[in-house]
Formats: sequence, C-alpha cells, structure tokens
Amino acid sequence: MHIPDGLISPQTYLPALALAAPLWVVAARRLRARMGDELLPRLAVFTALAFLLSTLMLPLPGGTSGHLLGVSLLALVFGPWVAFLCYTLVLVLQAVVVGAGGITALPVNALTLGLVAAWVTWGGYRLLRGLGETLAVAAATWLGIMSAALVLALVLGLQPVIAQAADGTPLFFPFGVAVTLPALLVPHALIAAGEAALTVLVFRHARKRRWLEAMP
Amino acid sequence: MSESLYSLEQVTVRYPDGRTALDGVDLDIAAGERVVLLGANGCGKSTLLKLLDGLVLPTAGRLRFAGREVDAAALKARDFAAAFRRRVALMFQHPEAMLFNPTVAEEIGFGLRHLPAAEAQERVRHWAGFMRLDRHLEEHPSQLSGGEKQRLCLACLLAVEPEVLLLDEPTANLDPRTVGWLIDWLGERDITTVVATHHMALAPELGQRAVILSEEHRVAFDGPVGDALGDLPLLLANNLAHQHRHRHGEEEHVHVHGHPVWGAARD
Amino acid sequence: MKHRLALYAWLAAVVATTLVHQPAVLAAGLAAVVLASGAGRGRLLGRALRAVAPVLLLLSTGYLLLGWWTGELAWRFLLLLNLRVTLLALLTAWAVRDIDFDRALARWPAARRWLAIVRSQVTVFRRLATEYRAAVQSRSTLPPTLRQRYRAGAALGLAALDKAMYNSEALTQGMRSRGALDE
Repeated sequence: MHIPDGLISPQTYLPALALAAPLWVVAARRLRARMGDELLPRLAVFTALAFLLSTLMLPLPGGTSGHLLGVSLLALVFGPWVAFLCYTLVLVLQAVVVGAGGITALPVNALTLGLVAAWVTWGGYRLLRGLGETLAVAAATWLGIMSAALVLALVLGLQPVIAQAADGTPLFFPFGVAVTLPALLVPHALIAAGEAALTVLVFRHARKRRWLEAMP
Repeated sequence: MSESLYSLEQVTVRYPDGRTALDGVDLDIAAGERVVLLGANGCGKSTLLKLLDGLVLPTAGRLRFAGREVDAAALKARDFAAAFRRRVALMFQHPEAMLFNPTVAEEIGFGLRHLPAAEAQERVRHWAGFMRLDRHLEEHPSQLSGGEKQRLCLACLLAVEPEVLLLDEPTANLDPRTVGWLIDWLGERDITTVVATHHMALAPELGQRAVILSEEHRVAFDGPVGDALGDLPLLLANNLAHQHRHRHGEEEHVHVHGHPVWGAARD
Repeated sequence: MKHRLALYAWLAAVVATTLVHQPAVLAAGLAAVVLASGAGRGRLLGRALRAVAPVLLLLSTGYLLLGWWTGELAWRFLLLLNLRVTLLALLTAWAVRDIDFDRALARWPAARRWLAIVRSQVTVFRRLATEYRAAVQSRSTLPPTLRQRYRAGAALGLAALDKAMYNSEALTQGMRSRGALDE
C-alpha cells in the first residue's frame, strides 16, 4: 500500500525525513549494540527476507488478492527495531533497484509501514498476550496494519490542506480525509485480516524456534 | 614429526539449544598432514571444521593452534585473529555463505588487501584464469552458476595461500573436473588439509590419515585411511556403509555399498 | 565518480520536481528527460507509465467524478498531477536503468557490501519461493482452496524465516572465516 512519488508535498516529506533519520540511527545503534560486527551480514539477509515476504500474495475471498507486508511478522520474530530498519531498506531497494515506490515518499512510507506497523504489532502482542497467543498475534497484526493505513490515510488526506495553490486548488494528493479514510481503511480491514491469518500460521511455528533468544 | 599444528584436548562443543556436536574429542594434526574426516550426517564433521577455523569454540576442553590457545580472547586480539584468518581457510558447504563482495574480481582480491595493489591484481588475474572465471571478473557473484560460484570460493581461498585448508564436503558441491584438479593440486603441495566427506571412494585420494566421527560425536577411529576402509564392521557401525538385500531371480544376495573395497558388491 | 554524480543529480531532480507547480515547466522537464535519456527512451517511458498508470487513472477518474459532483473542477490540477507523477516515475526509471548503484556507492564500502549481499540473498530467496510454488502446483490435483493457499503461503513464509536464520549465521561465519569482520 505504499505511496508513490508525486503525491506527497515537500512540506510533508521533509519533516518526515527529519523525524525518520534519527530513528534510523537509533535503530542501527541499538542493533549494533546487540549484534556487533555481525550487524551487516544479518541485516542484509533479513532485508532479503523482508523483500521476499513483501512479494507474497495474500489470497482474499472473492478472487482478489493483496500483498503481504510482512512487517508484523518481522516485528514479532525479531523485534520492532529490526522490522523498522529492514522494512526501510526494502523500500530503498524497491525505489532504487526495482524502480517501484518512491524516493521522496520513502520517509513517510518507512514511518507508517515500518515504524507504526511494527511497533503497534509488537506492543499489541505484549498487551494482548493474556488472551491466548493466536488471538494476540491476529489482533496485534490486524491493529498494526490498520494503524499504518490510518496514518497513511491521514497524511494523504491532509495534503490538500497542507499544499494548495493560491486559488485553493490542491498541488499534490487531491482528496481530503473524508475520502482517504474510507478508501484506505475499508479495503485494508480485509487485507489486514489476511495478513493476520498468515502471520498467525507462520508465527505459531516460528516462536518454537527460539530465534530471538538464540540471536546474539 | 615436529610439534602439532592443531591440538585438541577433550574438546566438547554444545550448542545453545543443548545439542552436543562434539563430545570429548582428542586430536593432534601436524603441519603438512592430510586428514580425511569421515562420518555420517550430523555426526559433527562441519562443527569440527568450524572449530579448526575458530568459528566455533570449545564448550569444554582446549583447542591449540601452533602452540597458542584459541579462545574468545585470542580471537579478539587483532594480530592473532588477522594472522589466524590468513593462515587457515575454510571452504563452506554452501558458496553463498562466503561471497559478499560486489564483483568477482573484488571477491578474489578481498583476502589480498595486505599486498601491494599490482601484486594483488596479478594474483586475482592468475586465480580467475585458473578457475576459468576470467570472463566474469566484473560480474556480481550471484550471477554465476552453482559450479562457478564454488570455483570462485576456491579461488578466493587459494589466492590467500593459506597454510591450512579445511574443506567441507567438497565433492558434494564441486563438479568432478574441479575435484580432480583439486586433488592433484593439493598433492603437489604440503598444505595441511582436513577434508570432511562421506564420499568414501575418494577418501584414499584426499589423505593418508582418516578420522571417523561416530554418531555419538566422538572419535571412533584415527589411523591410516587404508585400515579404516578395510574394516567393514567399523564402517557399518558408524553408518558409513550400508548393506541391503537384493534379488536376482530366485536368489537373494546381500550388497554392501558406500565404499571402494566393499562397494563392488559382495554377494 | 560518474555514477555518484548521477545519483546526486537524480535525487536533486526528484526533489526539484516536487517543488515546481507550473504544468508548463513540468511538461518541458518531461520532454527534456525523454530527449536526454537516449536510445531506448520509448521503452523507458512505457515502463514509467506502466508503473504509475493505475494510480493516475484512479486518482484522475476520482477527481473528475468528484469535480463533476461538486462543480469545482481544476483542469490545471489534473494536468499538474499527471505530469508530475509521470515525470518522477520517468526520472526513477532512468536512474534504475543507467545508474550503477554499486559504483555510485564506491565511497561507502559498508553500503556496497550490504547491497552485494542483499542481491545474492534475494536470488536465494527467489529460488526458494519458486520451488515452493512449483511444489504446490505439482501436488495440486484440484484447485487449492483458500485455506490451502494460506497454508502454502505460511509454509513458504516459515521456510523463508528458517533459511534467513540459517543463511545469516552461515554468512556471518563465512565472513568471519575470511577475516571480513575483524576489520
């Protein structure tokens, strides 16, 4: 669901970059403290993994399908900082190697799909764990994806207000929140449910592998 | 024989999940020795090679290399670590594990950064030619075929001119021509080699001394290759040969497979 | 050097495109890029258009409908939006085609190495995914149900996680063995 270039105004993406950059540094520092000189190879492999996960199709009822984000799964298995950093790197890769997605939109995409989705999933899981694992994973993943969609809808929906010409016409994304909220949240309620189902199925086995504990 | 290059005293390796990979292994390897490491899948061959390469450390017991104890502290010491990495080379089972540079030329040149640029370049060219990779020097290693990747790994390791070469199942991943070449090449040099394999037919070509690891992760045999290969009960006990029933018309035979002396079919 | 400058130029051009709000200037920019991108420009333009056409179609149609409904329609905006998004996509398609990112990153060895590893690992994961999908196809005597498709997806996801753990450990050891981590 990431935003392509040309829909987000500089008034939005520059502050987003100013917010995201220090968070990338924090994430990298924290992981470096945990993994030391092994950070580079591990991060590179996990980026490739995140890249693969983001190409998995989510079959949806009615013959349609969506793409898995995979960021919730990464957050649950490796923690939110790894998920945030890997997802950012996937976006970089998609922008400069594949040519999909956007480079100016990158900070916004990274903050919503990377940071918000990862932390909400991770935090949601910790909060809801008492309800049983399947429910906690499913609800946390669904909430993580929906929060990302919500922030994305708000960022897009505020564009006509943030960036408009002297005559009041929009300069970038044209629709307000009244349009973006239903347009993004309604279909994503279904996509997020698909993502939640797949995450539950994978995480059930992944947790038993005790990867997090085994990781340096 | 002079002082041992490697000396292992009662080395045990246990992984964090509780699995034991090596259990009380005693082993001395002299400089220039050629050791064939035999054992069934999962007996600890790869772990032993990684131990000899300083990638895995003993949970109990001692590991010495050239008289110096190899432990976490020694490998943290920059001078020892750098020298150790240059003297000992390990060929991994999967080539992807060893390739991390953007071009084939840089990949081979990676271990040569201590040399003057011209000399390093010359060696890169030499080894690329030797391994039939000269047409691919500017390509990304991931673009090579499986066989080319393995030859690239070999070029990377041999270009550094290591004193010790550890090979993990080379016959499983190298093409037969390269295996043949490697055996000849090693035969002309006095590099210390430890080769892990379960390809019994090649064992006599790969070394004079055989070390068999049992499925209990201990040393089950240490001696001349010929003696090991002649001892069918030993091979059967360590899951290195198998026998199965076989019908020819009305008659039933027992076949033994998995090694050159017995494998020819002993009915 | 050349590739690094091209990288900077691309980033500057992309930012500039989001700062300009005159359709005429953007149209001129689009024409300039089409001219400057040399042989194969048709394919390049096609690629850029294919990438953004769905989004542009959706947004333009939506905007037209909404404008028709409310009676406020700015053709100028419609032109601006389409030109800007197309120009940005074309700039990026051009960069992807002509900039060798490996050379552009020559000054940042860690980034180069990261990119090199990611590239080979992506190949490894792609192969895994192809194999899993082929296996599902080969074993399916009937079209798979939704539940089975989820199970197959989960099996691939889990295999990918397993492989990632294994590969990251193997690669770390491989790099350590070759002295790449003691620098």
